[in-house]
Amino acid sequence: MGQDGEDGEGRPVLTPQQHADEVKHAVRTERNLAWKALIAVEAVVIIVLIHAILVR
Amino acid sequence: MEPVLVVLASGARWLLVGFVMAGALPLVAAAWQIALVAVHGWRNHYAECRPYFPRVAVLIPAWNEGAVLGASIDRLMRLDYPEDALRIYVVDDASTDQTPEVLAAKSDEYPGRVVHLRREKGGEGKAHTLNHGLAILLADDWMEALLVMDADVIYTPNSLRWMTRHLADPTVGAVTAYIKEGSKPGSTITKFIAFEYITAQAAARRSQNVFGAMACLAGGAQLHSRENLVAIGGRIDTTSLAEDTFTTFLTQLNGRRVVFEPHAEVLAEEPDSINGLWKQRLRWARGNVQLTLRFKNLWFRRSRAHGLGDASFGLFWFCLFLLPLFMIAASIGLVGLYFLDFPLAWTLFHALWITNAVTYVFIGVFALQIDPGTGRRVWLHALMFPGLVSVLIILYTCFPPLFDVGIAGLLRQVGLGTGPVWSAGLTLFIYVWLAASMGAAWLAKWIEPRRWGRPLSVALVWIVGYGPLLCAVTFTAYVKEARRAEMTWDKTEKTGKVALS
Repeated sequence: MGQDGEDGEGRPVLTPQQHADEVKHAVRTERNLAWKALIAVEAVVIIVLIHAILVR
Repeated sequence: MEPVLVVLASGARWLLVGFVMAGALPLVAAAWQIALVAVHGWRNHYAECRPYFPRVAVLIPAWNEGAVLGASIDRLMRLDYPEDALRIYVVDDASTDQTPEVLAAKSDEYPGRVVHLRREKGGEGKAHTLNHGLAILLADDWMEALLVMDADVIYTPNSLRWMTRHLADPTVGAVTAYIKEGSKPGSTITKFIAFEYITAQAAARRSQNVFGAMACLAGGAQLHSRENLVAIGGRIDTTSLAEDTFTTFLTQLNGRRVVFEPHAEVLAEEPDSINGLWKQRLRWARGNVQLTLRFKNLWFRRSRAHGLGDASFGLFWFCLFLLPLFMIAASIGLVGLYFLDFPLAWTLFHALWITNAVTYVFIGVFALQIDPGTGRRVWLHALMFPGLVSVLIILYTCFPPLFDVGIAGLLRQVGLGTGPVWSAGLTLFIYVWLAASMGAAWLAKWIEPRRWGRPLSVALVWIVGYGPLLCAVTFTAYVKEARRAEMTWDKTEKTGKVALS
């Protein structure tokens, strides 16, 4: 056993395609965080706008 | 006024302005660090990942962990990882509870895969316990990678193989996972910790991936390549209280990368009392003081071999490390200017707290989306993280008419809130609050073991804030280290409250 990713009975634990799919999913999830950051920025902009209107 | 006095007054004014601005520095740095998470989708280590299943030795230091060890071993055995490439070595640090019996039963249940290593002399600390096991593991060539974990943590099924895939890249020396607070149903304190871990682990470590310098491998999830362990001397530093941070730094100083795998989730049981939390965090904070001094020649000195000397990493490190001093400086600045230049103090107060509000909203809204599962459980704790008083000050600075017309109007109707004494008192109170909140947080720790102390102390944390509580711990660490207080290994008591769902 070792680097070829097979268990004690010779079964593959992970095929290269499965690995590629998992990495793709991880990267997609990470890239979605950029949109979530934008939502947080929007929340800040809304607070600042309300503040500006109230103190005008 | 005499010219000399004019110069002195001007110098003092600028000094105090600098103090107030210092209070804003950690806020800006924290927001910048969290903002970097947004680019983690493009600056990460996934392109270098390969399917890789090295022979992993799991090393668990255990002192009186009988209540949690059995479940942790069972979970490890169910990991999605090749059976013959995973062995568990538990270093029993002279336990006096049922730990030996639990280990004997698990060794019988999983023959050849669970190994009991007993130390007859215990209590020297986690690093000594780990070194006992490490010496045995390195003497044999079976182990290709080492996973150091705590006895109570529970690994989600895919977590280990998602960590090992990064070790396929020989430039990576170590990998860490996302430690989540996993107590069910959870208390006020554990829920505050759960939110803290979204920001301090899930978010901050992603940003550390982005700029290529990792502050710390989570103590409960440290995966090292064998080559890395040999390169850092084959043993864990025993001279400080932050052995995991030392190992992280040494790995990077030896030219190997440390990677955070955010999708490998590990659940841990964290303290559910203020005093338990205080003991744990005081150990960490004292360790960080020791480390900061030990590596004093490292900071803000760029190196091709590692990113620890980069200005951005140094800024993040010191903004957190010196946060209590920044808070005290801001309060001193505002109070000083109150007497020296009242309008300037008022302007700077608004600027500081609006910066605080922007940071609070940005980090809170973003963090809750980074781990939405935990976020749904702890959104109220995220909202109240700075404490009720600070939230009210933030609301006041953002929406002053709400207070000037609404609350102040109500107070005036009952004969309060009018007059110069009331106004001056309130102004000074909010100016001094950043520093005073740490003292109030200390009061929560002091009051907890006393009669009726538990509910009172929890109420005080809601009012004062969890953030100031951590700052109070850091300040105490400065004092303890300055007084060269004895290093004690105060183990966090674990009771097995962690559940996967």
